[in-house]
Amino acid sequence: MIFKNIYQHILFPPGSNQLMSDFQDHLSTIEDILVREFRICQMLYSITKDEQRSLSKDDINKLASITEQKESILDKMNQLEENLRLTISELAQIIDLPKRTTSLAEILSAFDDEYTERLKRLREGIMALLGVIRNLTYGNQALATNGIKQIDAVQAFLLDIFHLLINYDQPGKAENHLSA
Amino acid sequence: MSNNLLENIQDQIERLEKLQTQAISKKRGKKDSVDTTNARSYTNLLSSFEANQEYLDIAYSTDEWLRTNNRTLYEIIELVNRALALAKSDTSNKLDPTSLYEIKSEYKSILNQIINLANSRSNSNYIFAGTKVNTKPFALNESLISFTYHGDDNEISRPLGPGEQVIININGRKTFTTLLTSLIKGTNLSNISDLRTLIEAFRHSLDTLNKILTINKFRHKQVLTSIKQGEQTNLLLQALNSQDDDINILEGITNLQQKEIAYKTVLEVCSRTLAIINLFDLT
Repeated sequence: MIFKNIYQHILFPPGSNQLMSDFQDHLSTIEDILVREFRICQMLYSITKDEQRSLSKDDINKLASITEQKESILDKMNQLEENLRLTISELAQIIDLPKRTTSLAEILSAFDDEYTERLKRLREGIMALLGVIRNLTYGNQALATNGIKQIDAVQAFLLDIFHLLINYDQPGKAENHLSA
Repeated sequence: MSNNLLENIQDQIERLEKLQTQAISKKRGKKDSVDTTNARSYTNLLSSFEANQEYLDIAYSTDEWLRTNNRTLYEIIELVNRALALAKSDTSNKLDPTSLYEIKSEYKSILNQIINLANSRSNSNYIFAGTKVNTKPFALNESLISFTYHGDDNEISRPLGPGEQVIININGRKTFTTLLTSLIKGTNLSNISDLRTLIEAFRHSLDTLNKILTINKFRHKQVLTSIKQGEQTNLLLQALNSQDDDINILEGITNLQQKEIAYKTVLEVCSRTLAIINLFDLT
């Protein structure tokens, strides 16, 4: 990898080959994680669309299997993001960035070579996909909430009918009962 | 003639009263002893009650099983963390014979505890033995150089309601093989390089155990929701049973409750999705 900007000389002065190699290893790890995250996000996008379809069709059986699959995808995402954060913090230590700099965007912005550009684009792709998933999820939340409200209303209606049944008596029966 | 007229009027009044009753209760001939619809409804009600009670009983025993899974996995994870810490603590070149002996005995103790936990039972069923619930799944050989798995790889699933199944068991072979093999290696350590290879193996086992724990917790949550809904349905069924009332209302409410469970699960998973997306914004 060839760095085109001035940071290269500051971060990796002549003779710091080990540092440079560690840096490249970490960037490769980050790229690997980002690629896996992108694929997982595609899966999440697809399953969220399925969820929306099932919610619209009221297909309860399919919803149950979708939610289980989604949980497993979310676990993987969580784990990858955890690994990414760990690698980023190690990378920040290698290039001696301030401790508060733990954002990948901030670290990558310090370089403008082709490789880091590719990572930036990959990250942007993930964020764009996540934006779409977020909107879909808000929609699904609204559909599910609406479904629950409808169910509550129908249940209340049915219970009201049930209540009427318990309390109903023929006209005049109460008076007769009282007089008796 | 006037008598006939009065009788007709009386009949009409009675019919009107009957129609009023039907209009409000939306059903026919409540007090008619030969009404076959009512008799069928009553039988259906009883069978619904019994079916719901059966589902509830299954859910209670499933809850117990999954709780045992959770508890056991937590304890095993704690032990694996100890094993990992042990592997990490002595990777310097200071392994004298005494400390090597101490490490080996510590691994031996962890191995025995994990074997005991891997042979855990719920209501006298071995939880990590696949469908061979009456067979003790894990056995160490006397010289501590290998173990044998006597269970199988089959899944056990339990019904929680119409069309709703949950898998309750964890595959013992897949979960414990790497872990037990690494611990056996730990008990037979001869040099430092062995200890280093154990670190990766323990990390991998921790990873696997945590994933399994997450899945188990999710299943447990499903079961708890089912129990809650089942108990509500049961109360309602008992009320309906005591009042001999319209079965259609009951069926409607039961179906609605199944849907409610599904929607609530969707909402929970959606909230988790948003939380994880927000996490990405920070990185």
